[in-house]
Amino acid sequence: MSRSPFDPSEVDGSLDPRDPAVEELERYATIASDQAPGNLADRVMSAVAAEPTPRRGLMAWLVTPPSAGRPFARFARVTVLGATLVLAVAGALYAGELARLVRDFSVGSTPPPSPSITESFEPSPSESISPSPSVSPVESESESPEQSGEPSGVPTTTPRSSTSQPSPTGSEDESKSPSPSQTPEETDTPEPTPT
Amino acid sequence: MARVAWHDARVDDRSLVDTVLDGDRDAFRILVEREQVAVYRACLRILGRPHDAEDVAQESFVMAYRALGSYRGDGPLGGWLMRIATRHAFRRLGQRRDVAELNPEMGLSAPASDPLTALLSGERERAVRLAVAGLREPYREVVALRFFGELSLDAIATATGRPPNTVKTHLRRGLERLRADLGREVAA
Repeated sequence: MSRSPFDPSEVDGSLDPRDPAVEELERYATIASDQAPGNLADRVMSAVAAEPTPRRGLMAWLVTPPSAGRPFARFARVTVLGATLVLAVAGALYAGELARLVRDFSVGSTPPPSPSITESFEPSPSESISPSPSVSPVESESESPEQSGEPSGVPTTTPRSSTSQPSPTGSEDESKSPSPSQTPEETDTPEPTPT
Repeated sequence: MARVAWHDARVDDRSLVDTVLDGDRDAFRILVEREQVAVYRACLRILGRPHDAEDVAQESFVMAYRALGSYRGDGPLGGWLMRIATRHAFRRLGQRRDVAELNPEMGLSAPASDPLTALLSGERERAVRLAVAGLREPYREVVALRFFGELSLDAIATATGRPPNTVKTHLRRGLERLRADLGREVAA
């Protein structure tokens, strides 16, 4: 096998033809040009005989262990495996949800609306009372609820939110962000009970 | 007859790989016999010890066999194989440097009559090896593939998946750093 000496023009002639690094490398490569040992092919083939037939394409890429010197390849492989796992789980969840929706749609032609409504509106009067003490100690100890409610300037939106959230979480939100404007309108919450 | 045809350098590497992937292990021997000299030499130039080079060359072929399914066929099989071998040889060199060298290599050149000449020659070879091994990536890979693996710059570009101009830049910068490192070694 003949050597192909390095030509400085390979790197667009920007290299000195008498570059000492090139000369050292060329000299060293000329020295270290031994022939391969005669039994190398036999050794390789006996080692390969114990190996399973290699796989093709993506499976080979996923199954073959990445070399230690390529952290990016390792990262990419782990990312692909992770993404595959996440997609599989998400697909299973979506399929389950879809199946549940189809089942509900096919079975649920008899909706029971009345129990759910009465349950949701019963706690509302008791909840409407709870926000007012939680807010009043901070800001409006001296003020009346009506005075503190007017500057907030959103009288139309707050009643809707309070009526649509009769659950206990409504009272927690009010205690966090004191919008006392809700308290006067909370007394209006019994209005939905006729409906 | 097919065997004779495989030895033709013009035979498509992709077909050879497909034959191996179809279960014909003997087709892999053709690849080994075709590339063993180049792979062994590259390993020897990196490691400096014939026994180590033989072991690493063998392991590189086995690694290539395992990963043969990931060969895309967009470049010469020899370049793809050489990249595996040089990387594996540098890894082995790094492991070897971690342990104490009880038996430092004597030099690859023919034994000189003068012991001092032989010693100096061995030291010089060792300095070149270590200087190349001490380069950072990607410079080390490009320099090793060009000078130790004897690949053309186009073959390196194909094997590494980098543009040819990038490979040229990496080689030029690698040689510049190598010049500085070798100068320091000589001064020392």
